[in-house]
Amino acid sequence: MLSNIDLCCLVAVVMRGKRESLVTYSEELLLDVFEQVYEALEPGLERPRRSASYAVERLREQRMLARVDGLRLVSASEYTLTTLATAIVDFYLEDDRLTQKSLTALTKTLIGNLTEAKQKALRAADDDAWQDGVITPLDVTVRDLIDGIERRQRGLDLAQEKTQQEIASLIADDWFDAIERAQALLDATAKTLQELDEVLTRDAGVMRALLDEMLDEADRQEHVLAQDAIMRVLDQIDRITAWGQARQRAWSNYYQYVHRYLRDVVRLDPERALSHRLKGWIKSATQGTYQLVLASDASITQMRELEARIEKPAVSRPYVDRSSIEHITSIDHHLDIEQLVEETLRHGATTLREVCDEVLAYYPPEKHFLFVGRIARACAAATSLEQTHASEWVELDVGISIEDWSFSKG
Amino acid sequence: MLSPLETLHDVITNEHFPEADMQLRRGVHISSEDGMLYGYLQDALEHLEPFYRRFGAELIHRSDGYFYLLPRGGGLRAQVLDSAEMLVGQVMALFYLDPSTLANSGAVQVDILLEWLTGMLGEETAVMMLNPKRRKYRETTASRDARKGLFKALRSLERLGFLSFQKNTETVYARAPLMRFADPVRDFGDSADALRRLIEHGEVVVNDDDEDIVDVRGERSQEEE
Repeated sequence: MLSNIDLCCLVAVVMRGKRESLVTYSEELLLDVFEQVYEALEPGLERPRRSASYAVERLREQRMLARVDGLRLVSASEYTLTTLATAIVDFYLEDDRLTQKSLTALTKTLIGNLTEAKQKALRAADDDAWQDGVITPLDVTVRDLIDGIERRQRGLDLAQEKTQQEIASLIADDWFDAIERAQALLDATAKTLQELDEVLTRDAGVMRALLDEMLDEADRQEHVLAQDAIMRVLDQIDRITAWGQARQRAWSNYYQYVHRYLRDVVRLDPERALSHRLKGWIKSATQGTYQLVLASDASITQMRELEARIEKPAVSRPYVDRSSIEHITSIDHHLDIEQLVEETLRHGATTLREVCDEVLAYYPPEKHFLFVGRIARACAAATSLEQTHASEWVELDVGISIEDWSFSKG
Repeated sequence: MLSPLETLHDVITNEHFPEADMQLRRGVHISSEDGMLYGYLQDALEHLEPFYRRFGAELIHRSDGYFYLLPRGGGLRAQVLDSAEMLVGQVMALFYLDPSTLANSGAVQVDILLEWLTGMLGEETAVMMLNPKRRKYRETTASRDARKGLFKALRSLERLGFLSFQKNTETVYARAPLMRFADPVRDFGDSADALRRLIEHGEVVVNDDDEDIVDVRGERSQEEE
């Protein structure tokens, strides 16, 4: 964990480096700077030089400082700040917040770069031309510019958070007297966000149009690398535009909340007595004796949407030719087959084949196959089977083959 | 854009009526955070006030920016909040009034709420008040019981529109209807007189028993069934 004093040491070194244009820092210089920091922040410290020495060791272990001389014990060391240390110091030092001025400057530069890249894209005839004229500028210059906007957006996010805390502190400290100042802070931030959103919306449209033209050309020439590079930049532009809209929406909610608070709570209670009275009420024994009354009829059902009355057709069967049904019913009857079989047997038929040929002649062809089985059953019921060896397979008049049986009257 | 609400027919056939009506009848407070629904009620107030009066209820619009339906002994059933919900509602009202919550647009962490409650009332009292049905305090499960009772009360208050939970977090947002819990102390006169007026107006009832949400006519509400 980076302590406050270690952070101050790092910041002091960076400031010294900037002032004297230093690239690396000698151990002696580090110890001098750190010692000054200790003397300033901990005035009563007995041996600040020793504390400074420990701080150098600590920051090395935390990978904030790196030795760059390579000489080890032979001579005094040279140090540099690591990327991690630089990033941490930048976070605390740089006031990189987005303003209308900085955003306009960045977007205009961006549009200029994109215009140039578009002209080169339209003239690009080979891979080298695409790479040098479009892909590299998009991947390096344009992306750096957009990164710059995003970094400043994050800076503004931090600034907004500070503004919210400032408003809360103002009201907590001065209550009624802070209304005007709180309102002014709210309005100033709302105005800034609105201006930024306007710039972003306007210039992002121009940027997208330029990128779309480049993308059309890349599509036409089927240059996949250029297509990817253009799509990456389009995504970044979508992101910075969405930021503007999201922040404005969020600030609008916050604005309304604070505005309501100032109107309903602060203005109506200039002496700030309500909180104290409520706190006392909660602590007192009386608070348990009353209960809020609310409505409780949850039984109502949601009404159906109104709709025109629809005449539904009556349920009916599909049309069927009744005459054919009656015909089938009259002849497709169990009793008829039995009667016909008995009659045929009475007239002297002695084999299944004779009975089938006689009976099936009364029925339509599609019923023959089904009725053979029923005829055989009727024959078996009315006669005795005379079968001593394997039966012969014979073909009936209607074309069906059956295993023939011989009967004797039962 | 809403169509102009010139007649009761316009009000009832408006697309927002079914939801607004059902919520009001369930005891939900509709505040400016509810957006379109709140706007609809503002526009329809003139027609809905006499409409609900016929059901024996009063549609109330507070200047703090919220609506609710108050049963007046007619056909509309009523419920009352239990002691845990009353306690949590009053503490949330206190947070709503606190300028420190302004920086977060009224957001309060449940842990901070619990810490405040146990700090002010003591752990045993807080656990017993947050769990009205509990007869015995158990030190071994006190912390868990307190959280459980607090969440139950918060969820119930959320259903009634007094506050809202941030999705998938333990952060609650205080909403304007919480000011109902501060009603007895809003006037700078005697609190007992203010309470008496609220009772007369039907806003609160005095009840020594710790019952859960119950119908004031003695029937249990649907939420408990």
